[in-house]
Amino acid sequence: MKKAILATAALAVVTAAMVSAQQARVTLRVQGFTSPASEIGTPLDLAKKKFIADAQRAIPGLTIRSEESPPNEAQRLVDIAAGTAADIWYQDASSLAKFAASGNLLDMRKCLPLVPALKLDRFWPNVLKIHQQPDGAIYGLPDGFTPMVIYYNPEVFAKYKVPVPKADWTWNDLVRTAQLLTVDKNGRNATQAGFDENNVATWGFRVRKFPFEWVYRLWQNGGDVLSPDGTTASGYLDSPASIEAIQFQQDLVYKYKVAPKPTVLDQMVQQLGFNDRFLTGDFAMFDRGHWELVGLRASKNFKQGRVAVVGQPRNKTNATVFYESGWVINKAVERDPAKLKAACQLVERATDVGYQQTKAVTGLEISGNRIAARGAVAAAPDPAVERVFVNLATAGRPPYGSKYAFYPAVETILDSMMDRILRGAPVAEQVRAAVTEINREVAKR
Amino acid sequence: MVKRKNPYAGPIRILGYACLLALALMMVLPFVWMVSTSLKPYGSAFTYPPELIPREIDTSSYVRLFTLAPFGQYFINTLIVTIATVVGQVFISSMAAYAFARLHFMGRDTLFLFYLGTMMVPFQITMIPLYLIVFRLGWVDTYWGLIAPGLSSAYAIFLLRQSFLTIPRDLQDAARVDGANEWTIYSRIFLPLTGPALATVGVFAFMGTWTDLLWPLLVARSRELRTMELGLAYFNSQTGASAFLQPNWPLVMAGAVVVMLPVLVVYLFTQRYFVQGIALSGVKG
Amino acid sequence: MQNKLSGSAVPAQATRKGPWRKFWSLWNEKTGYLFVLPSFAHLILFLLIPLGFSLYLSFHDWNSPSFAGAPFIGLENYEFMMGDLRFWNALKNSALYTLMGVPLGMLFSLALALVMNMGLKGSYFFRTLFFLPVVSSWVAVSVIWITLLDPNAGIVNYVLSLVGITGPNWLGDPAWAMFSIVLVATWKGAGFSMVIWLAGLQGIPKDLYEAAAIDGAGPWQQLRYVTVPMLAPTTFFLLITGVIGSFQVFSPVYVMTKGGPLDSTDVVVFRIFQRAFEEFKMGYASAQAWVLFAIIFVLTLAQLWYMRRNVEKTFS
Repeated sequence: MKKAILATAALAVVTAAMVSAQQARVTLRVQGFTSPASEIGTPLDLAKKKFIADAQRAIPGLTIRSEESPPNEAQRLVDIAAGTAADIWYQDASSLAKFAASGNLLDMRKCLPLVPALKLDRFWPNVLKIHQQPDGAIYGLPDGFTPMVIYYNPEVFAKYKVPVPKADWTWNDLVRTAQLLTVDKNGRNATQAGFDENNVATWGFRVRKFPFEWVYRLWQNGGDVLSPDGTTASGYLDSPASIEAIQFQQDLVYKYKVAPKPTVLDQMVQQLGFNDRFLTGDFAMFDRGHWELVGLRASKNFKQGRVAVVGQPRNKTNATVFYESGWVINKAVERDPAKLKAACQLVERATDVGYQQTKAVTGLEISGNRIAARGAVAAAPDPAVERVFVNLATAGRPPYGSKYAFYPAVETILDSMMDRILRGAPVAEQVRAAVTEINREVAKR
Repeated sequence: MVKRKNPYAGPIRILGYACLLALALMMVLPFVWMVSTSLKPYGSAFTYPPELIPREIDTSSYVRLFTLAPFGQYFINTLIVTIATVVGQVFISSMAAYAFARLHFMGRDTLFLFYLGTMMVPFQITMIPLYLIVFRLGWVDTYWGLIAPGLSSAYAIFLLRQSFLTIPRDLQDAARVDGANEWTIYSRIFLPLTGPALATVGVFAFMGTWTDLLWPLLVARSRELRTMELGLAYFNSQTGASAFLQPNWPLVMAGAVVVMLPVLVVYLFTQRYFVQGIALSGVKG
Repeated sequence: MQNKLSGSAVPAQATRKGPWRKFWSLWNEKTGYLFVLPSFAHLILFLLIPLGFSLYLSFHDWNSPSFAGAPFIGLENYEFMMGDLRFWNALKNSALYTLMGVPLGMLFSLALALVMNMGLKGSYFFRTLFFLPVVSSWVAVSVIWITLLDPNAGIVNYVLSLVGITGPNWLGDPAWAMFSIVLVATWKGAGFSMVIWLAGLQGIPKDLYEAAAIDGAGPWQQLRYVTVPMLAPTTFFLLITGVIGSFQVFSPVYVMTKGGPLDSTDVVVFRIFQRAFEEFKMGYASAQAWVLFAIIFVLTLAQLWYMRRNVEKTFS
């Protein structure tokens, strides 16, 4: 009996050895680990290359073909139609729903049993939500993200002796602060009589038509653009809460006069980039994400002490949006179990603390991996700023583009609507027209 | 060209020269601006008043262009694709044009009108199905894939047909009578006689292929296969006009100059034929 | 096949009848098809099949970039188009562009041609200059003009300011943006049309001018009563190709204004591109493209018919 058991055990061991020795050769085509020509040799580029090399060594039988991401989505779209899309690519959350709806993305839950090291709790829960669908499927995993915050220039605040914004500030605080910081060439600010709005030297704020910069304003007032199931905008975009928020945006320009009109803004920016204007004190505050830090730091007008951030102001609620990019796996990969496993392993490594921490050093965004994000604070060029971002990582909503596949069409409509409103058109009328058009678009589904 | 006495007297002549100068200036100014901006240091593209001649000449943009991306390789690729397309288009289109102009077969005129109709189709709608076909043929990321769709052009056929129509019938009939077959007539008589029109087709094909962006974007996947215009697009999207920094205008302009130069050179050398060729086709309408 | 007639240049068809003629026309026919074959094969593979596919698509709801399960929806795409205000706006913009651009382009290039035709010294050099824009790439040209049209630091407004005019915000003002695109397109295409006009001008018999001069017509009248009427065929050629080209404008809009500001430069092909490549609505985009094609086709037919009726009469 003992001999039989021993023999079986030996056979099992030998079989296992043979099987693993014959590990299927797998090639994965990956997009998202190349750097543009001007960044070759930089720490980030080296980190990416090291990642690929390490992964190939660590995952037996794997060859990685690292490709350049296409300059626009047309190419990727055509690839999917032809079945030649990459196996893994770097996907922007704002167009995630489109690809998910096409049925070409792998449900990452399939990776969990294959790669035990991949635990979903390594990610910020609200950021992971971006990839989760109502039916529980998870399309892709977070790589890096940013909440939309408000940047401010402390030097401008100091110059006009205005206290800097606090974390839980309100819309009223925003208005008041911006007014005190919108100063004309005669030294009068927007609250004072005789303020000359045609001769402004410093602007308190900036408002633009792009939906990605103002949809969360609706949320801050308890409003929304679409119903949760995405079937209508009636009762949402035209709800009193939403209209009030949209009106607020317009008021910032026309009533409170703290933000320049679109044409004025365009002209200002054509000559000298907005970042440079902000750094030299032409603007006191503006909405943006973490990525702006890169441009700001690269400017020759950058000085420590000119850039600070604070979370969004609240009105009825505290709300902001997360803009994010993550790794998605092509659904076709699951046809080959070896390939599937390798792909899952690769994504696990890419979202692991090790690689994420090396990426965080570039300052483009916050890591989706909680430990890596917290660890990056101390190493960041400006830990105070970084801390603000990380503190906001628990409260943010997914962007519409990650939930509604048809969002691009809606976004176009919102863009046009806000464009007209910021040029002075009456809000109620524009919103009504937008709602009608949006309803038509979404009804097609 | 027969020289004729100039009937225009003094004042009109001067007005004519003035107009010519003014118009020439309007035409050329943007190009001067382009070259001048490409030689400016980063960040000083926009000054007020605008500088036509840069205060300081900085050729670093060109250096960056060539060291950061293999524009030399891009040049070779574009050359291969363009020359193949030109040769192909000249022959294939001229054959069809000859048939439409001088041969009789059933359905000839309807077919020709059909060809004309295809000129009205915007590329965007046939783009994806076309890619799928090329893909099935296994030509994605190959020179063939880049060349194939441009090998025949309805416009070229139209142009050449007009030109062939002007060749006297007697020449053709005499040749037939002497026992020549159609191919000989086509290749020995018609082709040589329509040199200018052929050159026109050639230059059009050259221009169109050299500056094409949408198609190479879909077909050329590996970096080594990119054409100049495509290489420039990738280059711009990553360095020249990146999302975070302000567009590097001198770099963008340097790229534009580099892409444009070969076409210009070709044009300068073939100008004479080009102009004659268009003239021959345009008059008939 | 040898058929020697004794050196005369009389066409074979005229003198021989019957079986010989039948053979000859059959031979001709086959050769005709053979000559056309390469380009026709190319046409079928690279144009007709994609075209047919796009027509097929226009009757389906192809929302996802894969072939699986694109539901047939019949004329729904076309119905939706009827109520799609954005599409009608785009059509209006394309029509506006054509109405502005085609006459402007033709007149400007005609002026160029007239001046060139005066036989002034250095015409050859100038002709090269005028052709430079034509041979440049759209992307490069658009980028250059963005900087030139900058309201504050661009050369155009600078020059205008020298004569006391404050130039508008060319690309940023909804009232001027379309005109700016027309301007750039005219600048780019003028050299080409100029050459065609020149050819037409040089085809006008000199005796007509002399006859007019004898009748006492000055240069202005000569222009009106001799030049312009005799240029009719050229005019129609440029008109037809101009309309076809204008309705298909895309590159300058894509690079310079992206349809803005306030959708004032949103043209049909740009709309199609957006629907197809940014919203993944392939079926709908195809339907829109077919409507565009139909419009261009009808317009071209109308022009051809008008030309046949009015112009050919004068010239036959």
